[in-house]
Amino acid sequence: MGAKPSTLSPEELSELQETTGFTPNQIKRLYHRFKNLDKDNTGTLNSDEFLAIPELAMNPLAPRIIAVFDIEKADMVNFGQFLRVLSVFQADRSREDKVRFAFRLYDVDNDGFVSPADLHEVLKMLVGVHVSEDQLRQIIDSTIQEADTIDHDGKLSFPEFAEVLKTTDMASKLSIAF
Amino acid sequence: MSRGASSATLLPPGDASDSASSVSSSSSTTTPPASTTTNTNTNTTMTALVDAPAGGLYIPRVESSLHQFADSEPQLVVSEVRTPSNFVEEKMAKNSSWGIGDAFSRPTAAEEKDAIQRKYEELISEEFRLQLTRENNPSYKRKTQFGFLDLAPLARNAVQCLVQDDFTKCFESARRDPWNWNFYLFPIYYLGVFFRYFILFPIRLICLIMGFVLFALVMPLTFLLPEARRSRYQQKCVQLLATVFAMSWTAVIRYHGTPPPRRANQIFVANHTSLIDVIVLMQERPYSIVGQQHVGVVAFCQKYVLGSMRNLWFDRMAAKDRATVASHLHEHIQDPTNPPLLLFPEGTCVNNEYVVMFKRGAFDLNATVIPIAIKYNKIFVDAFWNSRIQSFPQHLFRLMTSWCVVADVWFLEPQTKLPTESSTQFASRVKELICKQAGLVSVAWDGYLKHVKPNVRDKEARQKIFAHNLLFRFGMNPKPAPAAAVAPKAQATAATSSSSSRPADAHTGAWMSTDGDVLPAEDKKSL
Repeated sequence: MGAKPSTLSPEELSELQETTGFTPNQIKRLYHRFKNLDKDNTGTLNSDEFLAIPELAMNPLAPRIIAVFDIEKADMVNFGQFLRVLSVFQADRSREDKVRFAFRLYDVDNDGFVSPADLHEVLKMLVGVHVSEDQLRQIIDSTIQEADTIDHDGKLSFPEFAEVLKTTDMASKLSIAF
Repeated sequence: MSRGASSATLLPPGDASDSASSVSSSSSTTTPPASTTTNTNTNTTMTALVDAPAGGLYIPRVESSLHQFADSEPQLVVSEVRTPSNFVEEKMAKNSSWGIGDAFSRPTAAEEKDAIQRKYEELISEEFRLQLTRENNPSYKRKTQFGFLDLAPLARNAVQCLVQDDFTKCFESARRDPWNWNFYLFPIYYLGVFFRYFILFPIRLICLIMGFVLFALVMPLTFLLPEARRSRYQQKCVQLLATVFAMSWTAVIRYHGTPPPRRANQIFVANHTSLIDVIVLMQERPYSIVGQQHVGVVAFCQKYVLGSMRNLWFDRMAAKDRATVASHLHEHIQDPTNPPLLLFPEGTCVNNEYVVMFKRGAFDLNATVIPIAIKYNKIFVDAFWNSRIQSFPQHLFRLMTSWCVVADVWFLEPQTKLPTESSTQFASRVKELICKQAGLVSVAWDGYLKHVKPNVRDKEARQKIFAHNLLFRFGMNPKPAPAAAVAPKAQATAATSSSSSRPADAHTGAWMSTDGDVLPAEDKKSL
C-alpha cells in the first residue's frame, strides 16, 4: 500500500472490510488513529512511532507485539498490516487466528517452531531481571517438555502449541473492544 | 524448586500474617505428611492474603485458584535452605550485573513519576489478578507449566493502546464534524467564512498591530519614570497589550470568584491549554510567569513584551534549570511587591478535556496555592494549541479567524498543604479541585512524556509483577528485592532456617494490596 493519500478510497475500504471484518466506521476511526501515530507521514509506522505511545513503551511485551505487526521485518507497518493484526482481537474472530497470533508472539526467530531459545527470549522480556537464570531454565524446560507431546523434538510446532491451548478460552483472553 | 511453597508449609494455619509469630511457631512445627501439606499450604497462604489489606472482593476467587494450585500437585519438594550468606551473594550479584538496584534506589526524578506508575501498575496487576483468579482450565492446574497466555493481559493492553491510549487522547485536537450540509445553512456558513477571513481578520490584525505599536512607543517612556513607579506602569502596559490580544479574537471571558488580596507566599496555578491562557489571565491582572523558554515569535514576546514582569523562563528538559528555578521561585514569592506568580503545573498544553499530572514543584514551596480553573468553550474554536501540528502564529491565526473565543475562568479557594500531605498529594488535590470546577477529566499521566520516552523503571516494575506471578505459580522464591529493607526480614527468617511465608509476602505486596500501592513495601521505601 505504501504511502497513502489522506483518505481511504472506497475500493480500499471495501477490500479492508472484507479481509478484516471491521465495519467501515471502525476502519475510518482506526485509519485516523493510524495517521495520528504516523508522525512523519510516511504511510507506515516504524518501531519508534509505535513506542511513542508511552503506555506501549512501558509494556514489556512491546517488542514482540511490534514484531508481529512488522511481518516483513522491515521496520515499517502499513495500514493494511496494522488493521489485519488488530482484527485478530475482534471478539468474534476465529480461535485458530488467535492461537496463531499467540504462536507468533512466541516464535521469535520466525521459523515455525517455538524453541527453548524463543521461549527464553520472550520470558526474559516479560520478567526482566526478577527471575534468576536457573529458575527461568526450569520453567522453560518443564514447559517445553510438557507441551512437546507429538514429536518430542525439543521444540513446539504449531499443532503442539495449539494442543496446549485447546481448553483455553481464547476469545476472552485475546479480544478487546473496538 | 517450589521452595517458597514448601517453606510456607512449616507454618500452622492462620499464622502467616504475622511474621514474628510465624517464625516462632514454625520452629516448633514439624513438617506434616504430604497430603496435609498442601492443605496447610493453601490455608496459610490464604490467611496471609485475608489478613493483608486486600479488598474482600477478590478473596473468594483467590482462594479457589489457590486450591486449584494446591490440589493439582500434591508432591512438594522441600528445597535448600536460604542462608543469609547466599542471600547477600545473590543481592550483590544482582546489583553489580543488572545495575537495577541503582535504578530503584536512585531518587532522582523518581518521585515525580510515582503517581502514574502506581496507577498504571495497579491497572496491570489488576489484569494479572483477574487472570490468575479466573483461570479454570487444566493447563493452569499443572503448576509446572508456564501458561502460554499468561502474557494475554499485556498483549491485550498493548493492542488496546494502539487503538486508543489514555495519554495521546489528552493531546488530540477536537475533531470537527461538519454539520452545515444543508441548503440554507451551507450558504450562510460560507458567508460567515467570508466575513471572518476577509472582514473580521483584517480589522483584528490592524488593531493588534496598532496595539503593538502603542506598546512599543509607551513602554520605553516608562523608563523615564522613577524606579519605584516604573514597574507598576510597565505592568499596566503589558495588561493593555493582553487586552488588545484578547480583543483580537473577541474573547468573551467570564471570571468567577475573586482571588484573595495580594500577600507574600502566594502562587497561582492553572490548567494549561494554550499560551493564550497567559493572555486570558493577564488581561484581568498582571502575573509573573514561570514557564518553558520558547523559540521564535513566542521567545520574542517572552523577552521584550513580558520582560518587565520578572518572569522565570527555563528549559523543561534541563534538570539544572529546574533546580535553580525552585530557588528563584522561593525568592520571588517572598516579596509581595512582585507581581503574583502564575504557573502551569502540567508543564505542557493539554486539550482542555483532560488534566494531566501536576508537577509538584509549585507545591513544594510551602506557599498558599490559588487554583485557577480555565475552561474554553469549543463551540467556535478549539483553543488547544497542538504544538505538534501548529506553530504559535498559526494557532493565533486560527483564533483570529474565528467568531470568538469563549472561556470561563474560576478563581478557587486558596489552598495550603496539610501537615499530613506530601507535595505530590497536595498537587493532586489541587488538580482535582480544578478538574471538578472546570469539568475536566483527571489523568495521572506525566505530560512530559510528550517530549521524552518513559523511564525504564516503569517497564521494569511491570516485569517485576509478571515475574512475581510466574514464580508464585511455580512455587519459587522471588529473587531478593534490591532494597536494604529486605535484610532484617532475611535475618528473621534465617533464625528458623527457612524463608517462611515469602511467596505470600511477595504477593500481598505485589498484587493483593488494593490501596493502590503495587510495589512491594521494600521497593516503595527505596524509590
